[in-house]
Formats: sequence, C-alpha cells, structure tokens
Amino acid sequence: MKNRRILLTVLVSVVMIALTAVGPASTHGQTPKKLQIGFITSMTGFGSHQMKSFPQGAELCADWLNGKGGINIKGQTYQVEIVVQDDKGTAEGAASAANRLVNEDGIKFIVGGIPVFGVIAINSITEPAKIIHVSLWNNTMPDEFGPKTPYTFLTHISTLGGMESALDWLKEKYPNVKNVVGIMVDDGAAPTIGQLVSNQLQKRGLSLKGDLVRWPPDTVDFSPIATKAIQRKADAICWLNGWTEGLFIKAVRDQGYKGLIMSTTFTEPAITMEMAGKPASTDWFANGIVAGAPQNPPMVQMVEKMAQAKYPPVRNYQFEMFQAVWSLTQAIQSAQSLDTTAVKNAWEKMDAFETVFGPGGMGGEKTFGIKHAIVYPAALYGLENGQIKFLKWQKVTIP
Amino acid sequence: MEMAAQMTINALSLSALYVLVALGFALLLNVMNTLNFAHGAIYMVGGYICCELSDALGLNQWVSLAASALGVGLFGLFLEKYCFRPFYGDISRIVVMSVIIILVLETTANVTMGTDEKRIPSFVEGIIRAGGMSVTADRMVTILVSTLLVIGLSWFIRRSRLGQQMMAVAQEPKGATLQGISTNRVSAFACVLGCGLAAVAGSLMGAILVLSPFMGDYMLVKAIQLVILSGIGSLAGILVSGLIIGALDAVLPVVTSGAVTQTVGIGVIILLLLLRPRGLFGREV
Repeated sequence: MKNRRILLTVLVSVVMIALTAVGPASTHGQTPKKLQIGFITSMTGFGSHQMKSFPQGAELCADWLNGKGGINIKGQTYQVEIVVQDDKGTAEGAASAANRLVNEDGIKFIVGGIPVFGVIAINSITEPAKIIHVSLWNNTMPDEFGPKTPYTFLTHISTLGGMESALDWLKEKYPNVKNVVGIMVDDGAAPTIGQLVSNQLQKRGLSLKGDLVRWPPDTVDFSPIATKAIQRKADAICWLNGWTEGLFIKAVRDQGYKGLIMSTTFTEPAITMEMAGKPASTDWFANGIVAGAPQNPPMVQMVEKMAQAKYPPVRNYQFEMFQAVWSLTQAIQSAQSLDTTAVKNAWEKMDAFETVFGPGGMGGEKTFGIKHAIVYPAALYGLENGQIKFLKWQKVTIP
Repeated sequence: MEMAAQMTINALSLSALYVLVALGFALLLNVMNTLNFAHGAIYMVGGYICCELSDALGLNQWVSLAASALGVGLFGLFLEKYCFRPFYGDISRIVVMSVIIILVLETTANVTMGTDEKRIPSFVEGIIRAGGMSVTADRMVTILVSTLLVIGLSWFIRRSRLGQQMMAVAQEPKGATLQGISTNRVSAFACVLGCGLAAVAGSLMGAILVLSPFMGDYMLVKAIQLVILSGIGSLAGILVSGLIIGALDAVLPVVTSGAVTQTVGIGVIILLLLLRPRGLFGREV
C-alpha cells in the first residue's frame, strides 16, 4: 500500500514537470517573453489632469502589437508590456521614476518627458546607464536633446515641426499677414523659442512684432495678456506654446479682437473650443488632428477606432503616445536585439519610418546636431464660426 | 486711452474674482481663528458640483450654483465638527488637517473628473462694450456679486445677533461662552457660510475661467495675500486689498512680462506690509 502511494506520487510529479516544461502553445515552440517599456508621466501634480491619460496611447500600441503576435527578435517572441511610473510633475519625481524603472525594474527602454525639466531629469538617469529614452517633446533647450544625449530619441515633431507646418499654412493662406505678435508661457524656454520663431518667420518674409508677450505659468485670467497682445496691433496673434490657448482665445475675442489668431503648437481641437466657447471659436488655426476626418491616414483611423473602443473620447495624445512606442519597437525589430547600443545604432541607420501620421523619416542632424528625430506630416485644423474644420496634412522637414 | 480703460475694467474684474474667493477664507480666519488652507480645494469642488448639475441634470446654472452652495455649505458642517473643532487653538494640527482635506479633494476630483478641462455655461450671455473697453456679462455679474456679498456680510456681522455673536467669539471665546453664546454653533455656522461662499466663487469662476482639479491652489494663494494685506479682523478691508492686488495683476503683465509680473506684485505687497505690518485695516492680535 505504502509502495503504491510512493509510486503514484512519483508518477504525478513526473507528469507535472513534463507539462511545465512543455508550457502553453507558442510560436516556434517557445514561450513568449515580456518586453517591458517604461512610461513616465505625471499621474499626480503639475499637468496630471491631462498627462495621467498619456499611457492610454502606449497601451493601445502594446495591444495592437501583441494582437499581431508581438515582436519577433531572432526567433523569440516578445509581448510588449507598458510599465507606468509617476513623475509627480516635478524634476525630482521624473528622476526618481527613471531611477526606479532602470535600477529596480531593470527596464532598458523608457518613453517619457514633455516639460523640459522632466526630459532633462530622465536623461540624467538614462544616458549614463545607456538606456534608450524616447522623448515625447522637444522644447529647443540645449541640454534636452543633442550630441550630449546619444541614447535619446525624439518621436514628436514638437516645437520646430509645429512651427514649420503652421507658418507654411499662414504664408500660403494669409498673404496679407506680414507680422505677428508671439505669446508664450514664461517657462525658461522663451529666449530660445523667441529666436527660433523669429528665424522661422524671417525665412518666410514675415516678422515678429515686438518682443514675446510672456505669461507666468500659473496665469488663470488672460485678460491682461489679451490686452497687451491686442495693443501691439500686429496682423495676427500667434500662440507659441502652453496649454490654455482656449482661455486666451476667449479673452482676446471678448475684448473685441476680430483678426486671425493662430498657434504653432499642438492643441486638442475639441478642448480648445470648449475652453474658448463657441462664440469665440473663429478665425483660429493650429496643429491638431480632427477625429473622424476622412482625410486622416489609415493608421490614424485605426488608432481612432481602438481609442474610441477602449479609451473614449479620442484625443490627439493617444496617437502621439502610440507613435512613441511604435517607433521604439520598429527600431528594436530593426536591430533584432534588446541590447540598447545595438538598438541605438540600428535606429540611427533607419532612414524611413512607418508612422501613425503617414510616411516618416529621420532628421535633426543640422537642427539638433544629432539625427535622432522622427519627422512626419502634421495635421492642421481650424475653428470657424464655432465649428472644427480639418485643413490639411502638412509636410514637415527637420533638417 | 482705450488701453487704460480696458486695463481698468480688467483690474475691477480680477479684483472681484479674488474678493469672491477670499471672502470665505477671511470669514473663517476672523471668526474661528482658523487658517483653512483647504479653502481652495473647497472652491474647486463647488465649481465642479455646479458644472455636473448643469451638465448631467440639465439644471439652470443659477439653480446649480445655489444647490452647490447649499451642498458644499453642509459639507462645511462636517468639516467644522470633525476636522477643525477637535483642534481649535492648535494651529499646526489644523494646518495638517487642511492639507489632508486638500489631498483628498484634489485627488478625488483628479480621478473622477477626467482629463479634459470643463467650463460652466455662461450665467449671463453677452459682452458689454463702451468707451473702448469690453467686459463680458459674466464678469460684470461677478463684480456685482462680490460687492454685494462683501457689503452684505459686513452688515450681517455688525448688525445681526448671530453676526455679533461671531464677533464676540472671534475676540474672546471664553468670554463669549460665559455670556451664554454657544461657540460650537457659531463656529459651525461660520464654516457653513465660508464653504458656501467658496462654492459660489467656484461656480462663477467655472463660467469665466476653466475648471480643473488644481484650480484652487492659485486662488488660495491670492486669498491669503488679500487677507494678509487687509489685516485680521476686517472683512470690508478685503474689498480694498482685492482692488490693490487685482490692479497689480491687471496692470503689471501689460507693462512688464512673464515671471517678473509676479515678483513685482509680491514686492509691492511686502512693501505695504513693511509700512503697515498689521495690514491696511487689521486689528492687534
């Protein structure tokens, strides 16, 4: 009896070990592994009311890639997993989040950083450790992105791309506009952005009227800023960056200004109109994707459907974060390696990229001193008589 | 000339915004000697409640404002009894309690209200234009409501029985108790009123500016500036200090730029306090 029990136990153990060794069904007879991608965003603190939803786009990309079988690297399949960390809206928080991902979780690929202090803080951890950092925005500050940050890549056409697309549209559609007054948040980047916009305007035979009108980051009432902007009597008002353009539009229109207001940055059409109010939402254009526009590329339409199903309402940041993760995984697949130096080298050699927004490429050699910026078309939209209107998909080059 | 006129109306409008927010804060400080740092968060909650009642239930904005003021005022009862009353006289505990309330309210709003900024539909539509200046009807309403509330509250405190009881409790709580005044009842009423005023401010601001979970932080700083400048013990002084700070915030951005605006503004307030440390209308503490 006792011998029978021992025999049964041994038999069950052997069967269980055999089953564990075989594992679940997998491609090429191997179990899929996980490719963890860190995502740093503000889940609390400054900017969190918007940025806490940024991981949605990354999650959508992960779902899409995993649904197609994951990423294949030398015969091994990897399922993408997004690991989110909170930067608490501060530089210290961003550094701490990066530190946790790199040194505690052992993650080698990080997506994150929009405000300049966040990008620089993440770089301070990722660059010495040779971790690939996909930056989500460029504020044109020297320490943010360039030869000193060889493991950082930029997947958003950002300030410069936005300027190019919006100013080309201005030149094409508003030939009577010869000068603009520039409005921007006083976040330390004003001297560099001021110079940049001045150069971009001059390239197109236009000019900046007076110095930039700068507003403190915690401004809630834009009436005084609107008064100052209107008083400059420029041909148009140009909102350069910041996140409260709707309030500014309303303040300007409330004071009787009927001219053109434009933006070179990327804004959310529905939110801009919500903040400005329908009566003020006219004679405005900016960079931004109009959800549902038939002119949108197939990938935009696909991501839109996914976002509508999983994370409604559809917002532009979902496309941008999808793009960030997709770019990174394309580079990893091109390298056929998870070694970060191999991925960096492969990424630098890629001239063409598939992007959510259409055919893309790499640029930035002349502008940033390093060819680490993905370039793709920008969508322009307008607000006319309280309606959102698709304008154009505009080609962008970042030399 | 046109710009001067516009700057004047901007100053009046900003002053009204600040006074409206500061009134409830000042009331609690003057009557309960309580520094309610959660006032900004309560103001934010008031705005969101008004917005949700307007959006979700389709109620008229004025009805939503009244309901929000009532609801948040009743929340003030809870706050006074369980969060402030146990710690009267212990300022550090009250401050810690305020911070906890801020964290709870802001995080709840951040999680439940979604990522998009919201606005309450205008209470009164239209723009008034005259003599080269423009002002929305909503801002005129805010100016009117602020002025009426300051006058009304000052009258209430000086002339009504409950108001005089508040003054007695503020000046000498033990003496007031010996006179048969229930300090707990008076404090509770002051808190209800203070929170209700915060909700009114949040609702009106939600139509003029925009609602966000952190909108109270900036306004709390303004409220503190107004109260310090006017001095402890003076509600009517809020109107004057509101005009000063509103004027600074309306004029400085036009004549200077960016972060310099804030530095100069704070510098002027510090200078005034150096000249008159107890505030413009304050009493000795």
